[in-house]
Amino acid sequence: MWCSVTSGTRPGPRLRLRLAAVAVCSLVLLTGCAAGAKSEPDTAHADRQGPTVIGSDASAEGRVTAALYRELLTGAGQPVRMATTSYTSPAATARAVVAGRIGLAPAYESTLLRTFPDGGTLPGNMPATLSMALPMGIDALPPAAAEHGVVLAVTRATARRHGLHSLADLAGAGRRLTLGGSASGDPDAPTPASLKKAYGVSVTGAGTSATADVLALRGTDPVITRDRLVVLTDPVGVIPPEHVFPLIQAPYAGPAARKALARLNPALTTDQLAALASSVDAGRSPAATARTWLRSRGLLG
Amino acid sequence: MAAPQASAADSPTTKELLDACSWADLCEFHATDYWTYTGPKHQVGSTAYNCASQTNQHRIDWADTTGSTNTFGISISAEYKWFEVFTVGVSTTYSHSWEASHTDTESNTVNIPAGYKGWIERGTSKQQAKGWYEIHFGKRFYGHYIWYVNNYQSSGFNKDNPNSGYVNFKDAKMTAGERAAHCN
Repeated sequence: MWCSVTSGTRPGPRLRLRLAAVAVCSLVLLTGCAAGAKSEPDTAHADRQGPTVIGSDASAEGRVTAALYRELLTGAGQPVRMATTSYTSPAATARAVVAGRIGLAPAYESTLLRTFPDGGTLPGNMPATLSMALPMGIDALPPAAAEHGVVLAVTRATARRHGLHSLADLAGAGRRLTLGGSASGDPDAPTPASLKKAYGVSVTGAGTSATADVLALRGTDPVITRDRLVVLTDPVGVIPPEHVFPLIQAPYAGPAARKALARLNPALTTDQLAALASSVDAGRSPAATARTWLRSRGLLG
Repeated sequence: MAAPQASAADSPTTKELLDACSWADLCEFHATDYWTYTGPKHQVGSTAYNCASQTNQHRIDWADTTGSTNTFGISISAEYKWFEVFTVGVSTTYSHSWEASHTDTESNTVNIPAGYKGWIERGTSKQQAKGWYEIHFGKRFYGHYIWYVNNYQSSGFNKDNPNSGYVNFKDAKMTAGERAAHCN
């Protein structure tokens, strides 16, 4: 058995090399292995082995995004099949792609960087940061418009009463507002301290209280639409980006697959993804939901 | 350009893989690291000798070419598709432009004391990037559809910040041999 990853002339983090080795070895394993280029230690080969296996976590959002990928790839003539098991979280799903257990999965920007933290970072340049975080053989394809990240929202009444449109407006509220919501414990959720630092506003933490004035919620949480909440804009970017994108093993990321998956990106907004996830939560199958939505937008023949 | 015929047992060289970028179905460079630095000091232009009995001004004309190099020792030319792919990858990832070769031409006037020689030393502003190539083939190439070139590392002139290097004037007393060679 041969794996081609070697250290470079400028040693990188040990974990990154280990991940690279895992990825390449996995690819070689998938190919059934072949004689390697022993005289060329910095080359490696890999071939797709059977269909692209698509996995996701068990959330409605993850399952319907995976189903969108499947429909698009199938429509482009790419052989695919869904993984038989779901993963415990988006992070576990991303690790499964990198380890070679599945070929493709929906991934989220900041979640992925927390999962693989040893790459360099370029603030404000997510494609570069993802490129530095991932090992050889794993591609982060361009993201959709949809974000799975945390948002801060208020009721329409609160927005109207205090003139709230952006997080900066919280400074002008007549009284000290409370900050709670179901996603307030999320690592990406702003804290009273981070809001103070970024916007100079003072809010009082209220745990995960659903009755707080300002609610930290997942952007795809159906409560936003159901209760007609007002999502506050974040001009400073205190909340890290969390767009959904296809994390894929390179052998499955040929030109046809890339073109097919890219069709999704402008159409899949946060609102659309929330609606799709809501439909799956209501009992509709991810496949049927994905197919209907793609056809309605002319993305599937 | 047609794909070379090869048996599955063969393995391509790094250069063969990089050259295949020009006809492969897909060729991408994934940058994983980038940094800037000042290159090693080296003399530019010729040495000037002041054989007079007082300090004199001398003009030193110089041209200094900084080529792009890589850790594989493969020559680089702007015409190579794989170099274009590299520059696009670095530009997209880090917003830094890259040239296969860059030449600076200058004239500097220096004051050289009597009996001294003078020259100019330069440390060029340089940049370096590292990453991996992903190359997809429509037909098997050396037995496989996908090949990678890992640990590709290249250095070149830092076009976006050319002034971070230095140009220094140096002088030293002429040796007897130098005086004999240049002052008679």
